[in-house]
Amino acid sequence: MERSIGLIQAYRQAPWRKQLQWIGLFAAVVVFLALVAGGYLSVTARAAQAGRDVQRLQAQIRDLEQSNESLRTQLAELTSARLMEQRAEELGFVPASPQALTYIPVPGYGGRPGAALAPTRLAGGASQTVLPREYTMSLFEWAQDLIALLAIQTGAQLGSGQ
Amino acid sequence: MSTSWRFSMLGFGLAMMGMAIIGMSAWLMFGPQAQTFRIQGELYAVEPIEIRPPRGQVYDRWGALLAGNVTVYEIGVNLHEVQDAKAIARAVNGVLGADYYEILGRVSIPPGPDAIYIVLANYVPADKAQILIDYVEEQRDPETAKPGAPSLAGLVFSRHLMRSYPEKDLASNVLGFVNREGIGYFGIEQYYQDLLAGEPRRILVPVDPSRAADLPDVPPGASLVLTLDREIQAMVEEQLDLAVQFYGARSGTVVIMDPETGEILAMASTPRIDLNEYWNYQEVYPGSTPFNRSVSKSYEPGSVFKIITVAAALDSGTVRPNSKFFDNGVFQIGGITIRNWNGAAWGQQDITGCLQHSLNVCMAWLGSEMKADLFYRYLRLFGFGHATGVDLAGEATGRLKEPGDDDWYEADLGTNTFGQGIAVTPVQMLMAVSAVANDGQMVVPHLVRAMVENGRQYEFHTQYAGQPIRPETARTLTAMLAVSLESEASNALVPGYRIAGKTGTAEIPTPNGYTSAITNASFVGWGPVDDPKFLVYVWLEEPSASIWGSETAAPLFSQIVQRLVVLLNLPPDEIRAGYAGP
Repeated sequence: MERSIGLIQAYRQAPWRKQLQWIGLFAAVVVFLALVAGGYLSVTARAAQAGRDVQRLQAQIRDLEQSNESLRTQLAELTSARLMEQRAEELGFVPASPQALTYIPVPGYGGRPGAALAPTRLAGGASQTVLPREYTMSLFEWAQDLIALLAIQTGAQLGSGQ
Repeated sequence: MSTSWRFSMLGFGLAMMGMAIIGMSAWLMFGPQAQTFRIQGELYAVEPIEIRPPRGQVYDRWGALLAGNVTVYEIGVNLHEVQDAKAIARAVNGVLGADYYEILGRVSIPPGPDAIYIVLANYVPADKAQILIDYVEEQRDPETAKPGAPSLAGLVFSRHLMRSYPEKDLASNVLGFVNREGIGYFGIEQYYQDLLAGEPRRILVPVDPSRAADLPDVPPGASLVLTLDREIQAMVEEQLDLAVQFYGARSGTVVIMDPETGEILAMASTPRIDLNEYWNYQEVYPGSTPFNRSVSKSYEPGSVFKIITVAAALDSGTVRPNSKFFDNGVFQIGGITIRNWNGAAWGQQDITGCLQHSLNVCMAWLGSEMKADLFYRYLRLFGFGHATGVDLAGEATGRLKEPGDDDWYEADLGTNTFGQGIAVTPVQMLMAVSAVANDGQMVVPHLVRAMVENGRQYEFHTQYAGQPIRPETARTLTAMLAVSLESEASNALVPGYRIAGKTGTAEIPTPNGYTSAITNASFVGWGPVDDPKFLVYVWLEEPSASIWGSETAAPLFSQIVQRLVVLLNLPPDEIRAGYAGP
């Protein structure tokens, strides 16, 4: 009773204490909201930055693919039949005549293989992109795996202890 | 007391401000204009773009690139960003050679809602565009920018791909070309347009970078591996051009095929065009000049057709190789008189002699012995009158008149036996003769060996077009033709290799009838006869040095085959027999 009377007395003497409590509470809420907003802003900004990076990298991939195509064609121009023949002639070569050739039998040689620009079959998924499971599993699956692993390890320890 | 009042007012003010913000947001979200804002937002939130996959490449059978793509630029200008229109006009004029005043006029258009971006040039080669790009980047970089230098601000460079043919006019008759809209014309480019072009996709890309998503993976167009051999093609084109010039021919055509598989190793025709400058098409191919005579031009083949007549006669049992025929120089059929090429009577002949001396009279006699029904049944089995199905655009079907047709007369039976009054394409003849060179099995000529799509290569297999004659007939006829070439010491012979074949000299029909002054000279031959690896068809149109196939087409065949056996790594018969052992 005396304690309550003391508090009322104190409030009457300095009512700003109570107001300070309210202001403190309000400030705390504001700070909290500011933190949440700041966090949200930060995450959004990083997502936007990542999005821009993705777009930039995709554009870069397109450019590189185009450059690759272009370089392949340029290489073909530099090694075209006409240019190669011209270069061979400049080096002193002449077209071979049937009489100038010597044929040597090579057992097992089946002739020159044709162009193979890609595997004729999908070779064991080698050409597929395989992401490690850790990149695709959910938190729940990760926890399940962990529990299963722990259970196995515990069982193994118990087994070795027997 | 005064402090308390101030704090209360501040709190009230802040609360009201918060309420106002919430109220405003709610009004924007649910007010009468909310729907309009939402539609506008969605409209500007995405940008439509079309992803055009790179066109598939075309390779020869060993992987040499015949048709690919190169990077080119579209150069445009953002009118809002232009600082010095004259500088841009000068630069574009200097580097690209475009008209200065035209460019200046375009760049000087005042920017507005309808004038934001203007294309100055497209399909600019990368090396030229790079000069302008380097200059613009140099100006943008504060470290390298020269103060007071003319500004090219506003220039925009967009790179894209354009079809390119590294071998220029090599195999141009086969490849065809692609215009700037990506449409294939003639040859492989037209026939396989859908496969090569791939499927363009139009998608909406969010402008908001936080919503950036992966662009869909648009697979490139399928690439094709042709049956052509670049080296053989180059050799054939060189020899053909020389022959056309040497014999004064109007045009020339040579096709080389593997008679076992139908794979076309070379297909050359005149004229040819540098496919990188396809806009010269009208100059190179004036009027109705066919792009590829091998498939698009039908003509009366003349005596090479006698192979088909004799094949039918032998296979039907009408005659045997040693059956006798007395040639008195004339043969009456359907009210007309058939004569030999020199008008002479050749006396007693066997069927090999008929082929060796290319006797029209003997062939007309064979036709009359077989009767029309049987003869034309064989012609249908050999595929005449129909397209072969070769995978090239614009194939002609030729013309086969048959009994029952309004314009068929009995006389046609006589003339058709030696290749007159019937129109065929070189590729039709090639397919028909493949039955003789390939133990009776007729193969469909084709140019695509494999297709590469989605990282996998799909091989195309041999297609058979039937078996018009028995294997024994094919082998017998091959031997007869080899003997006939050897007996007359033909210009078509190739040292070291036994060849079978037949010359043809066909008079050309005119509105006033046939004329002997101008002819179509042909030769079809294959070898080595014991295991044929090549079947070559040669056609010289209207040679002026000599009208005879034996003096024009036959030597060209020999010259080509002498080089062909080297490129095919085909040892002479004697050496091959030695390898085969006892």
